[in-house]
This record gives sequence, structure tokens and C-alpha cells, in this order.
Amino acid sequence: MLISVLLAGYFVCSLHVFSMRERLPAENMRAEAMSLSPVFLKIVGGEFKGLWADYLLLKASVFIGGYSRSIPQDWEAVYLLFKQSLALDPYFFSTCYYTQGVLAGRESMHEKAIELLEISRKHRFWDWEPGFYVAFDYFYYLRDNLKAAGIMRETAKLKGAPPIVATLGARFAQKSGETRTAIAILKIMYDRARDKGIKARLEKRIMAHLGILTLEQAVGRFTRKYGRRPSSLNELTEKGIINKPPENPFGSSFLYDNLTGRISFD
Amino acid sequence: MRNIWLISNITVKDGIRNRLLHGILFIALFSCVIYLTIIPMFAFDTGKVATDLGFASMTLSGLAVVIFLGIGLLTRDIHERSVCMVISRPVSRSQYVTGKFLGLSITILTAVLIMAVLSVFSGWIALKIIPEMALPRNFSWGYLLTAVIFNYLELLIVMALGFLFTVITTNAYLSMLFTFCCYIIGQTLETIVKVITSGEFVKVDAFYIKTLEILKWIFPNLRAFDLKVSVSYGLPLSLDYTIWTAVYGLIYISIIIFITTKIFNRQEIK
Repeated sequence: MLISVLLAGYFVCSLHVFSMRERLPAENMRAEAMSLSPVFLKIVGGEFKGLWADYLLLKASVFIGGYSRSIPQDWEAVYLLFKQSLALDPYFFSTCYYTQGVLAGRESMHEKAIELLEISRKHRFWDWEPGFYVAFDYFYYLRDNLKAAGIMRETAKLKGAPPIVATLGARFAQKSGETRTAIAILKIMYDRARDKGIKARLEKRIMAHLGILTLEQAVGRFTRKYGRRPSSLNELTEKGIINKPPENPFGSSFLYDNLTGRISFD
Repeated sequence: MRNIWLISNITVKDGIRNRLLHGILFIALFSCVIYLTIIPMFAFDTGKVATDLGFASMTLSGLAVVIFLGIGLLTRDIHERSVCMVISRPVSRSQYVTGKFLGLSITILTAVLIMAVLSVFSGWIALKIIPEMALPRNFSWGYLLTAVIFNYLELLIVMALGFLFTVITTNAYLSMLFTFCCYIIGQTLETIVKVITSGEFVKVDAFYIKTLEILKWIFPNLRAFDLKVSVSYGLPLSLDYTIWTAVYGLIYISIIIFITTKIFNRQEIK
């Protein structure tokens, strides 16, 4: 009699607890990382450091796959989780891949992403991809074409590197055609991506860059016609250079700096 | 030699009768299900994840056999005085210790083989049913076998230390505690020494560094037996390294068993 009551009570309570936890708002999801030094982790990891690295990556992936709104501290936590994972297993490609896919593009995270990717690049001596990502980040986010070109050239020498890597190295060195180059690189990354979430993000970025390319070409035509840069992107439609401005897949309209002529999407 | 073989035979039968091995078989089967659930969560390096899971379960089940079965059997023999029955016959104490060690080595080998075979089997199933699953880079059966053998050697070292502490303390709890501490020290000492001697993160006295260097010679370097990275990423494994490390392990085990038999020979069993 007692055991039946206990089992029934357990069943009812479990149902309530499970349904309450399912209804927890996604906004409550925050990334968490223990502030443990990677050196300390390497010491205590023992022979389970590979498994621990897998767990830390999974922890970061749960947040990346499930968050609806993030705060800067979340991305600091994700960075720490990736750093800890790479400290335990510097050969782990998944960490490198997610670093590039979700961290590198975030404002204020570019250098940190490069720091992590350099660990992968140093250890995965057979793999061209980490070097490719580092070069792209230097080129696109840090605008350091010289460094990007050097890294891309070194990466091109690795066995299995596609021929376009060498071409891109040369293009970086030319300091021209930045947006076209960026689109070419993003398309390579899109083709190689296996994670649906990352593929969706890359597709958005490609659309955004195609929009920027359209606007850059329009600004070029405007400058040649009127001898000056447009004061805003609206002037391009007002003067009939373009019929309709391209849509920014990241929400609001494209941003334009009329002093430098630079167009960005975020 | 015959006595040693006889004692090891009895120990193996004792070990097989013990429910711990049945538990390990159950955990091995359960682990197969876990692999198939966890592996699809990773998009890359799934072979490496499978390797990590397989070796982790091998190590944990091996340590369970060493700490609970190995130390448990020996302390039970000493406390229940069944060791007196054995050594009252024409069986020397060193033959007893050696036979017991050999018997438990075979028991651990059984546990390791069960886990290894089932892990490989899970990997094979994963390759068939999980699209993301791929073999590790430059996968080699030779490397995998070497890594399993080294994992086994590491467990034998821990068990030899367990025997030593059991004979010294004659208390199961203390022996398990000391053995576990030696396992932790063996896994971490090499990295600690590297970090401290590099001076990059912490500055310490030369005396402290010297002490650590001496401890490096006393405690076994269990990290040297961890070849998972070579299996997971196809990194080269030199024959020199393999042979020297294996010989190092075997000599260390022999020294510990020799010290254990010397201590046991002088011990009064009341």
C-alpha cells in the first residue's frame, strides 16, 4: 500500500517538475563557465582530459543552440569554455570550427577568436582549415591584409589545401576586392559547413555581403557621376543609381560612413 | 612456479565469481548505448570522441577492479586469515604475492578486453547508423592495440601499488586511499613539473623544484602510458618510445612487487 502511494506520488511530482522545466523561458538560458585556469585543467585532467574537452564543448554548444537573447557575459563564458576545451585537447577540430562559426564574427571577440584558432593551427599541423580561418579573420575583421596574406600563403603549402587558398593569399596582398574576396571565402566555409545552425548563419552573412557589394558598386557609380561620395545610402535611390536598396538580413538597413565610404551590415 | 600458477588460478576464479565483473559487463553494454547517444552531438572528430569514451570506460572499470576487487581480495585474505592456510603449506609468501598479482592481472585483462571489444563494437555500429561518425584520422589497429595494452600496463602499475599499500597498512580503506592518491600523482606530476620548471605561471623555490624532480623518480609517470591522442588524431608513435615506456612499466611493477614481498615476508600475521 505504502509503496503504491509513493510511486503514484513520484509519478505525479515528476510530471509536474518536467512540464514546469519545459516551460522555463529560453531567455533564462545563460552560458556558464567555471573560472578555472586552462593550466590548472591540464594538470587535473589526467587521462580524462579528452573527454572533459568534449564535455566543455558540448556545454558551449547547448547555449549556442538554445539561446534567444544574449549578453556580452555569455560570449565571454563561451570563449572561456572554448579556451578550456582547447587547453585539454588542442587538436579538437570541433572547438576550432565553433570558434570561427560563432565567436569570430562578434564585435570585441575577433582577437580572442584568433587567439583560440592559433592554438588549433599550431597543433593541427596537417589541417589547412584553422590557418584559413585565422587569415580570414585578420583580413575581414582586423583589416590586416598583410598578416592575412602571410598566413594564407603558409596555409596554402599544406597538403590537401584547395588551390583557392593560394589565390586568396595573393588577393589579400593586393588589398583590393575585399568584399568579393570575403564572399568567396564565406562560400567555401558554407560549402564545408555541416552544422545546420552554422550554415544558416553563413548564408545570412553571404546575403549581407552581396548586399554590401551591390551598394559599393552603386556608390562607385555615384562617385564617378557626381565627383563626390553620396551623403547617405538614400541618395543612391533618390538619384536613381539603384531602384531599391538591398535588404539587410541582419535586421535594419545597411550602415554607411560617408567619410570613408565604408558600408557594413552590423 | 606451479604454486604461483595455482594461486593465480584460484584468484581468477575468485574474481570471476565476484559480482564486480558482472557489473563491469553491464556497464560495458550500457556504455555502448551511451556512445550511440553522445556521438551524434558532435559534428567533427567523432572518431576522437568515440576513442575518448571507450578509453574512459576502460580506465574506470579497470580502476574499479584494482581498487575494489584487487585490494578488497587481498585485505580479506589477510583479515580472515585465509592467507595463513595458504602459507602454512609449502607455498612461500613471495609465491603467494606473485600468484595473487598474476591472478588479478588476468582478471583486469578480462575487464579491459570486455570494455575494449564492446567499445570497438559500438564504434562499428556507430559507423553503420550515424552519418556523422567517421574513423579517426589515419586510424590504425596497431595504434589502437598499443594504446589498449598501455592502458592495461597502467592499471597493473596501480594494482602493484595497491598490493604494496595493502601489505603495509592491512586496512582496505587506507590502502584504497593511498593507491588512489598515487594514481592522481602519477597522472598529474609530469604536467606540474613542466608548468613549474617553465616558470611562466608560477615562481617557486629551487628546493621545491628539486623535491618534485625527486618525486618524479619515486612515483610512476602514468601520463606516459596515455596514447589516446595518437589513436584519436593519427599522430606518429615511435617504436623507441613504445618499447622504452613498456619496459619502464614492467620494471616499475617488478620493483614494487619485490618490495611488497620483502615487507610481507617480515610481517607477522596474527
